[in-house]
Amino acid sequence: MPKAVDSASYAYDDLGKKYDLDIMVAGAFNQPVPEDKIKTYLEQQFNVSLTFSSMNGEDLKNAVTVRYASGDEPDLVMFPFKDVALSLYNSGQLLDAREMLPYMPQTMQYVTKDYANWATVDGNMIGIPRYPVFPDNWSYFIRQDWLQKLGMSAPTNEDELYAYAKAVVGKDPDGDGKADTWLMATAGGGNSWSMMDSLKTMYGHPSWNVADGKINHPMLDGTTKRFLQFAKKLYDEKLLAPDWYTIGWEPFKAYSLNDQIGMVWYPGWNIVDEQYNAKKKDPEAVKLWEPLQPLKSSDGKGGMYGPGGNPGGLFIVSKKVANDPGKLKRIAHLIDTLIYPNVNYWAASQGGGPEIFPGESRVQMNEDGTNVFFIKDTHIQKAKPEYQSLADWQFLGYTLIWQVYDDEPVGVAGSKFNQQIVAMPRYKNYDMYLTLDGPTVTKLNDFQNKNEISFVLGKKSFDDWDKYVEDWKKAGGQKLIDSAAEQLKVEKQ
Amino acid sequence: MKSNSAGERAYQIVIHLIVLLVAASAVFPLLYVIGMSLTTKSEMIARDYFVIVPHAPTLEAYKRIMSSSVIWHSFVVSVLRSTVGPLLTLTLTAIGAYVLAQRTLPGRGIFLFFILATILFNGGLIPTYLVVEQTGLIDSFWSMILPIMVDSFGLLVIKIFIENLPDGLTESARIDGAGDWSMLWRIVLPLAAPALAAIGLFNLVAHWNSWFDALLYLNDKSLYPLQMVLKNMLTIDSVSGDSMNAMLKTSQSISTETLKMAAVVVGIIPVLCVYPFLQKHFAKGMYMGSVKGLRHLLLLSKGGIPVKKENVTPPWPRPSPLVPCLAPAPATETATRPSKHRRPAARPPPPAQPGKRASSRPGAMRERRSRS
Repeated sequence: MPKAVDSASYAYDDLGKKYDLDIMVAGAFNQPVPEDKIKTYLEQQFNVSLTFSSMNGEDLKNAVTVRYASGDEPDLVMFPFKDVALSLYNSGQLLDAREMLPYMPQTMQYVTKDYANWATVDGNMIGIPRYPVFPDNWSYFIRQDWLQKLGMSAPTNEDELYAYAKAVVGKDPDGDGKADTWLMATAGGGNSWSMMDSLKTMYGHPSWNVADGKINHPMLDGTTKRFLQFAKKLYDEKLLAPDWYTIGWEPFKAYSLNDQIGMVWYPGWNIVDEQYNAKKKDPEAVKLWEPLQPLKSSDGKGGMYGPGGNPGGLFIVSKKVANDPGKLKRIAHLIDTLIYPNVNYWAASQGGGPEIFPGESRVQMNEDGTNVFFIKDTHIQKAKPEYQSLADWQFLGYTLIWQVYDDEPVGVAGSKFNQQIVAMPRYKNYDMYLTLDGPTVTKLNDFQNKNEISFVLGKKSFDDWDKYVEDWKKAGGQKLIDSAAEQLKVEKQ
Repeated sequence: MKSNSAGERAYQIVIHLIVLLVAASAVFPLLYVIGMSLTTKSEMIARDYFVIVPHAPTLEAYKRIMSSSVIWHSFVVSVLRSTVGPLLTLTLTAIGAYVLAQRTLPGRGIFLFFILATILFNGGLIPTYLVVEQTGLIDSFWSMILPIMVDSFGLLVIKIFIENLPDGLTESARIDGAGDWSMLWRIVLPLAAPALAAIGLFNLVAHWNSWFDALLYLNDKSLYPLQMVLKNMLTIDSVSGDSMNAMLKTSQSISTETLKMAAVVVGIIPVLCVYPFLQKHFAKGMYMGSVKGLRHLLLLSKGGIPVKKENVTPPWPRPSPLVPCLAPAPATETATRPSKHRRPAARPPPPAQPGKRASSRPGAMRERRSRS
């Protein structure tokens, strides 16, 4: 478990000179704040004048791109994705992160070899990788009360899942006498497989991987085909909600939280909390869903969820910062103290910790390295909507990986589920070692989204699957196969 | 002539049904948004996220939005930019159009070319940002005003409109001692009011709805206009903030959909209030501007053919036999006369304007001159 580094680690920065720092992050709220006490606190602590901008991911891409192209780049950006950073690096605008990382001892604890690989292109580190906000706490959840009513145990493979789906639709587990219960839906708004995507893991690795020393992809080894065949079976037998493909995530809650769906894909704490609130805070509601161990195919494949351990983004730094070593050190110093569990981690998280708003939150470090960080309802970030955006500061260093909840009944159950899910087996993450061409990846995703639904709806026959794979290769798949094989130093298929 | 035939009645019924359907398709989304904005989270879940008339309406979403000082502050910013922006735009556009309408202006063709070029070839995002940045407008309210202060298309439309005014009108004003300013403010602008109103309304709506300039040019969020604030309320970051946001918001009694819908209603109310008062000008100005403006832009693009006096149309619209329902009501008796009674098109009489001196009529001027 991580520990805070000694403050002596920052002896390189005497805080004597004042600097203007321009920092941008992908935030969640992105609204004006009447008085930003976190900013004031950090400005006083680090003798800096801060310009802090937070915006959603897409806006951040646009704004950062325009600013870099105009020569008015910010000093540091926390990007949740790599593609824009890669473009900026390719145009020679980014500092090699290895110049800054040595000044960030707390951050270095998390920059594992895999993280470093992920952030390294052509031998240069394009940014400093950051741990994710969320741990790998997504899994399938299944209705425990329905299993009990139906006299079934939790499914372990595709056949048992199919049997459960048939029972959910045919045996009226909610007991309202109506045929209004289904196994699940995509909840992807007609754009992706979303909730159903992880069913793919029953049949094999859901992303780029290496099999028998050769590069492999779910399109090549039959994983995608078998997933689509299973989805078609569910669709043909009307085991999915009527608008299973087109319904969006939020409207889908009208089914899932309203006793009409038998299985969902959710983070542990969130499904408990949402179901509890939808049932008007009935304590029994926290028992309705429980996580499902990864399923296997009928021939014994699978048994693992998709790869985990992805970084939560990366800090990129403008090349211009290198012109002023003092400024570079000040940025490194400031950011590093926001990383868990360093001295300012709490101050900048969840709208301001006890250092800034004394008595408005509770911080408790547990012996096992986990923490409880409870924000009271009277905290200004919660109590006054205009201060909601104070929480955007937390996207620099906040994480839920080591955070647990001790409130009954939601927090305790949610934490338990999170921990169960984190411990579940997962496929190896090869994507961490790959930097594939962004536009081609996007093009192929569109290609697959457009075509795969046709197989499920019966507009395309699985007899034409091989031709479809060839078309996929022509659409850019072969280019990515070649690139992935080269980067992973394995043979092509 | 009134027809009572069955065919005519059926035709009228079909037409009314079509119009009703079109009107319903326009009103329905508005009702849906309003209905959803008044719905509780539990009802929304119970009714499959489709509510027009909520069973237990709640103003919780509006209270939440209105209780935020951020909303009010950004509302003031939006009102300011939607007032200052169109006023400046109309002023500069009208002055520019008047100057460019003077056929004796040296280098007129070059000026027109550069103005036309900005319509055909936009400066682009990055060059515009560079200009804004290098003129020190980053983090300034004026970064939302100055870059779009002159409406090139509107300027050309007004210019053409002014060129089409009868020469006699301006000549008589000159003889009466009017200078350029008097000519502009007392003769030209009153006649161009519908076109100006249309351009002003376009500009106002553009300013009211705009948020991208704030995203690019403003780091100081206290200058955010309402649309930027509302947009940020509506969009949740799918990468970094989605689950985080959900986590922070799930305990609310209202759903995020309700909040979004309430934000949409708040955003459209001011324009809904202004629109009915400007609608008559808007429709008229659109018609006049589009017919004249497009025709002349076409001529300009084909080599800048000068407007011939024989082609000059009167400054008020004439009823068109092709689109009778679009033509504004005739302003004068003269305009409604059958064409065989009309005077030659090059010297059409102006509309009779109650209270105007006879000397302002070109015909009267000629009579006086011939008498002297």
